[in-house]
Amino acid sequence: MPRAPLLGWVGLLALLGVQIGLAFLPLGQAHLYFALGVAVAMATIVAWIFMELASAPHLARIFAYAGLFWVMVLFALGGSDYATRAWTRASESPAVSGDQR
Amino acid sequence: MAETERYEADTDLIGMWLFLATEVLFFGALFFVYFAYQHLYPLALAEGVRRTDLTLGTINTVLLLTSSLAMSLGIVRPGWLGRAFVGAGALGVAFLAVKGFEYAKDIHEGLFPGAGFAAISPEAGPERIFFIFYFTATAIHALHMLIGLGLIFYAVRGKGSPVVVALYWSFVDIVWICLYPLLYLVGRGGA
Repeated sequence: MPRAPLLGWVGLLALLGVQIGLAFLPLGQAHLYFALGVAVAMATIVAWIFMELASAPHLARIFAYAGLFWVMVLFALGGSDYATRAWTRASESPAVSGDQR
Repeated sequence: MAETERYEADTDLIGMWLFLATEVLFFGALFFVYFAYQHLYPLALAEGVRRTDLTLGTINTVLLLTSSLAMSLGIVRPGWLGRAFVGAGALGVAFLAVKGFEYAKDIHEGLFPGAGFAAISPEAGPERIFFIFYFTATAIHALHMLIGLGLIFYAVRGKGSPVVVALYWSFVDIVWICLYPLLYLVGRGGA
């Protein structure tokens, strides 16, 4: 039996278990970050082992990293709007009704 | 392997990675919408998560992870390719069957964000938004799986490049890995 894919699969199931366990701990807002951290680890295992990114042609790896880079740009620029709204809100107008932050 | 054949195989592989990079941005926009609403309405989204079916979602996650393993084994051991791809496809069909059952259950419980939507939190609007995200994201994911099953069908009959099909299938798996915690876990134990 090829060992790498099997070990990857066992690792994925273990991480899934960790993720479910974390969901029931009183972590509050940190939940999202813990859950996403585990998801990123799982996605890395799939890409690195199952999709053989480790041994892929250089150009394929450049495309993979470029996709990651641009989605990070999307999150960073888009997120900067939501992350900074509270800065001006305090001095300008009362909080928008229904906002839970 | 002759030089030309190697270049052809590399080009197939590289072309699929380029397509997947565009898919990352396609799904990235969808995930960004989730993060924006998670930032604005964490309590209503947690309420939504507590109404999804964790057991069915987890069963589906295990089915997909295992089908990706099957594909990977078929690529690593070319002798196993046929059986591995059929196995991966069968697990994919099982995933869609569970998802269909789950949709029926969701709709029965009034979770579809249409006219019959039954909100339980005081903030019906954001809770409805969670289920719009839930149905949109899972439907787009299911559509990708149907395309993947079509590709597997062709690959088993000896058409196309199996490595490229396996890449696509594993990517669809990664999309589910990212969706699963957002739809079934974050906020389940209390926001």
